[in-house]
Amino acid sequence: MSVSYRMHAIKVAAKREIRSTLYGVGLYVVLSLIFLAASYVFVNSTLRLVADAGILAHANPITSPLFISMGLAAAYLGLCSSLAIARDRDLGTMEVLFYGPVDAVSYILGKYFHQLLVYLVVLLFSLVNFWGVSLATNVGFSSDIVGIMLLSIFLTSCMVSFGILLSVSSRRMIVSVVLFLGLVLFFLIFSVVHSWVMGIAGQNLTTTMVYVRVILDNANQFIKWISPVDYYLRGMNAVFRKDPSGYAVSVISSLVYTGVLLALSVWMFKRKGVRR
Amino acid sequence: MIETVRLTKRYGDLTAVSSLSLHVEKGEIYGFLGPNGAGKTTTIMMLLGLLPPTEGEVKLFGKSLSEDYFNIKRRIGVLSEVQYLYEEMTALEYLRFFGELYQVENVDERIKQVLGQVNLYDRRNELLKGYSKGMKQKLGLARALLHDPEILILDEPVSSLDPYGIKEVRDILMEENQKGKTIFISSHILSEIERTCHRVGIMNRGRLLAEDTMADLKRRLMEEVELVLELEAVTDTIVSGLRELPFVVSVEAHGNRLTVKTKADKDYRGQISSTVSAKGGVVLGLRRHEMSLEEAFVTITENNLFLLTKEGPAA
Repeated sequence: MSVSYRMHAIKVAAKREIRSTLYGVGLYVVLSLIFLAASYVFVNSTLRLVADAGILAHANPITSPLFISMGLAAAYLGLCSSLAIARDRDLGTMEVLFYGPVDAVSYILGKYFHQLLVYLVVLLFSLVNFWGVSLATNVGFSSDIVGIMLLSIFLTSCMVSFGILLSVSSRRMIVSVVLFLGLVLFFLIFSVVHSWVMGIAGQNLTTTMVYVRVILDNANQFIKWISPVDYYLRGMNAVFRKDPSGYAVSVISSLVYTGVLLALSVWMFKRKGVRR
Repeated sequence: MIETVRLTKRYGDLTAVSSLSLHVEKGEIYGFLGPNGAGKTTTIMMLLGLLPPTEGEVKLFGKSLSEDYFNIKRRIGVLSEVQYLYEEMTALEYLRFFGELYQVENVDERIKQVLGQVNLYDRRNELLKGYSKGMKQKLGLARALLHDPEILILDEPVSSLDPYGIKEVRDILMEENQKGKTIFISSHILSEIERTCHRVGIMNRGRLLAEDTMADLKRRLMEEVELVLELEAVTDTIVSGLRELPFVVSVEAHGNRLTVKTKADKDYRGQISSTVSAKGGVVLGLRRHEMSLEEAFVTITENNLFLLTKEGPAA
């Protein structure tokens, strides 16, 4: 009985928030900006390829802009998640929900499914957008695109659960936003620096750089499991490498990551309580 | 319906609520009083499971929240002192959301009823950010009533209301109580508690000092009873006749009025009246001065009087 009540609470809470997101302008403004950025990347890279080789020599010119737009959308929803719980606590609206048949699990899952379902709407818009680009430019709409789109759901799930955990941990909205942006930026920069350092040929490394490389690689062994950005990058690499087992591992590890973070969020939420 | 057993909440060295044992019966209106910082809101938060107690337990409908969380929460309605609303919604949308959450049947019909009860039906399509404090409080009450709960837990339900609003809310609470609802009210407006509650509990510094019916609480606090008599004429014979009575503590005359203080162990009005008649006086009126809840509250909390025995209210 309590499972069905809990499911009902999740459904009602998520529905209210989805409605509020879809009727607001924020999502559409952000989506427009993301598509503009993706179009810029698409046009720029295509023109550069044509200028360099005289012809368009790229199997899937849409995948990179798509990868960027999915990443930005996931980051945006992660940011919204990092705001969601801290805002409810700050405004006091969370307390009123808990007067009624809502518990920590249903509340956290309601927030999670809200963002994930909004992402499905984002995917729908993305599909229309990139299909339109494909039709307009006569560039093929490959199966990779569908693969990326499906995978991005799981990767967004990581980003959203990461945002929720940060939101539960902070009492103030500003703290959770700064934490989210700071950590995502740190993970992204770390990933870029790590790839760059690891890519340098061994014979070109100074002694200091060898130490830096060892430290970075050891840190990466830890960070790759906690950074949602890493889950995203690993998944996309599997798509680009056409590696089905890597793809499957990415999906499964994303689900495990999401489960662990949501369980942690519920535990932390119970410890913090619902009061302002 | 509501029971707490040795409920305690400590924050480090500070004890916000100390070994609180409350018992609210079905169909009762229970007034929960105490000065600021007495521990009332902390107690309410523990009743609702929003704050974990350090020790002790809470039972609603004979069960702890952990035993049947969702069913218990569906059977209680809560109104907090401050209204936290989704301000971008209209009253109708707000109540529809909670109606769906509580799975209220015929929700639109029920919303019409509760908004009618709090006189907000005509404002149902206005955004809540435009509502006044009093309107928000009434909407909060409508939300608390929406799912027809068996227990209402109200924290300062009339604090933001004008006298008309206070009367409206009082009438609603009396009506709901007549339908069988148990009502637990925490309030600073003592006159309202006095008018509506069957029993009161008075807290101070985290302890429950007194818990009783209004009449018994006053009886236990009053060592003397003051009677005001209006006579056709006050004579020395009447005054001295009254002073001779063993239960009379003092007699004062003001024109054709007498203020007689008697012991509080019995009702001596009949004997006073017959003594006046026997001394040739004519009683035109006799009024017993009642101690107000405010006086009782101040007496108990200022002196931190403990009027409970271990087993419950003192005899």
